Amino acid sequence: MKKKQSLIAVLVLTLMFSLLVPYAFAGGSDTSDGTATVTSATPAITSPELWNMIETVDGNNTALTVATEYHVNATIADANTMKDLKNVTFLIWYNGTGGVAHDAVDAQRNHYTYTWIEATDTWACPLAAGYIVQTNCSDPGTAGVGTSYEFRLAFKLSKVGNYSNGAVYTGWQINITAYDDSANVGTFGEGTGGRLQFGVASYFEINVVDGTHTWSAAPNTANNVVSAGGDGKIDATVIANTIWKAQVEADGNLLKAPDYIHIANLTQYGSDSVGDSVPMTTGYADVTGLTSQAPPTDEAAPVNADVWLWLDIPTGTPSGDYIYQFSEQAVIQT
Amino acid sequence: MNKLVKAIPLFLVAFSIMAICLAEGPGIGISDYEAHPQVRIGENAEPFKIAKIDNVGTFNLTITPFFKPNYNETDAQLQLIFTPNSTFLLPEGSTIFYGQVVSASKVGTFEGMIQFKTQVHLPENFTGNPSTPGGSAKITVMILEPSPPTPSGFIMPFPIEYLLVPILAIPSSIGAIFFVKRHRHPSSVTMPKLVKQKGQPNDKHVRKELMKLSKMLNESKDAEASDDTLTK
Repeated sequence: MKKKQSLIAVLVLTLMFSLLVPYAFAGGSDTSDGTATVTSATPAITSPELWNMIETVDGNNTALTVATEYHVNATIADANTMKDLKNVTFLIWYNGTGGVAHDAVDAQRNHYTYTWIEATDTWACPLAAGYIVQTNCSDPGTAGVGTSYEFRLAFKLSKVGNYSNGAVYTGWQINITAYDDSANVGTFGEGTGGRLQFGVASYFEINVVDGTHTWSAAPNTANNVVSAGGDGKIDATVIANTIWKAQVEADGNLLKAPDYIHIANLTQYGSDSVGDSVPMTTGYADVTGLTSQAPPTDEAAPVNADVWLWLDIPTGTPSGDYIYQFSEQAVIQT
Repeated sequence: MNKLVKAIPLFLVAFSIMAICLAEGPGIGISDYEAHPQVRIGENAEPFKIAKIDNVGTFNLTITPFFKPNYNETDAQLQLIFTPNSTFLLPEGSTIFYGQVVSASKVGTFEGMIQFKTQVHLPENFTGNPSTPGGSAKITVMILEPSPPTPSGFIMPFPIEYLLVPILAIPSSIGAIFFVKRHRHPSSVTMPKLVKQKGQPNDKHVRKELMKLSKMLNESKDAEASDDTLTK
């Protein structure tokens, strides 16, 4: 009897445990929702550099040369991957004498904003053409899964308008700013301790359209008009990036050895006014009427720097061809 | 045939535009770096960048630089060399000219222009006097006094302070320790000040007395031992 009761008790206990154990383990089946919030990281800008086109010469704190390509490089990182980036701006502005603040509006003369847009992997600038010309920029791609990319803004300085005393390298400044989709902003440049800056060497280009000129006159005649391209003047054009003036010189007397015509018989002026003309000299002298000239605003449209010449042939001058060399230059207006 | 005739004006317009763009004539572009080298007498003068010259015309050019001082050469003289000292440039060619100071007659600032004279290589069908483009670059050379002479003989491989500081520190430290020992005040809180009273026995006297007592004690022990022996 006792054995039977014991057996029943064991069976009851076994049944109870068999019911309780699954229930106990089934305790986790209750739902407990959890979330892990990943915050948005601020983009970081490192290693900003200004290089020449082949990236062998550091252009930071130097005088840059017009019509030459330069690169602004920077590594931009976003811990949320690059698809979190919204855009990156490269700001170049002039803050030398008569310059503007970095937050001024874009203007051809002194302020350029170049923006790389992540959604389209394209570069944009509000100024279609100007004193700074965007060239071969890098395209880091869109929806990138990496956390850091190299960016390159490539630009050229046009031949007009950018002069910033070549001996002082602080005229032009560069800022880089990275924005992400959560409005976080990473910056490099003014106010952040770092700085990229450059000056621009002055540039003067002169093209003498009339490569040669002549006179054909008899002795004892005065104010003989030069024959050069059929218009009595030597045509020349100038491209410059600052206020300029024209100067001319002769390399000596008009010579047919052993005879010569003294250089003082040759006079020059910046317009067709022989009465105002002055004798040519063997050192460069200003051309009246061609001083304090504004540079052109478009390098494709140079400005004129024509010079009128007149020659007196003294009495007793032997016949023949007398030769000299005329030179014209454009220099900074001082 | 009609198409060809219609195309002729277009060709002529295109040719005219090309002719305007490639306007015949010599031309140069000069980027002036406004060089301002500083040279110290007795030291090697480094080359400095003067200007970049571009042949922007349609003729070959030979460019030669000359220094044109802004001062009277009877008062001062500066000798420069240029690299290259002359160069031949094809259209669209360019070169950078460098300068280097060879000698100067005095310490001070020398200002002037580097003038680039141009020889135009005109085709044979061009006659008359050549009209050439020129260019100039500003230059300001500063000649500085020679560096102060360094003392001959033994040259310290490290700053003199590195030697002076330890030399001065050692005697100072010893002096400081000596001073502290001499003037050290015992702690008045934990230890009552022991003042030797007048008439009190000094240590020497106490030691002498102790020795006497010890001797007497030993003698008394010996005596006890001999009494025991006698009793037995």
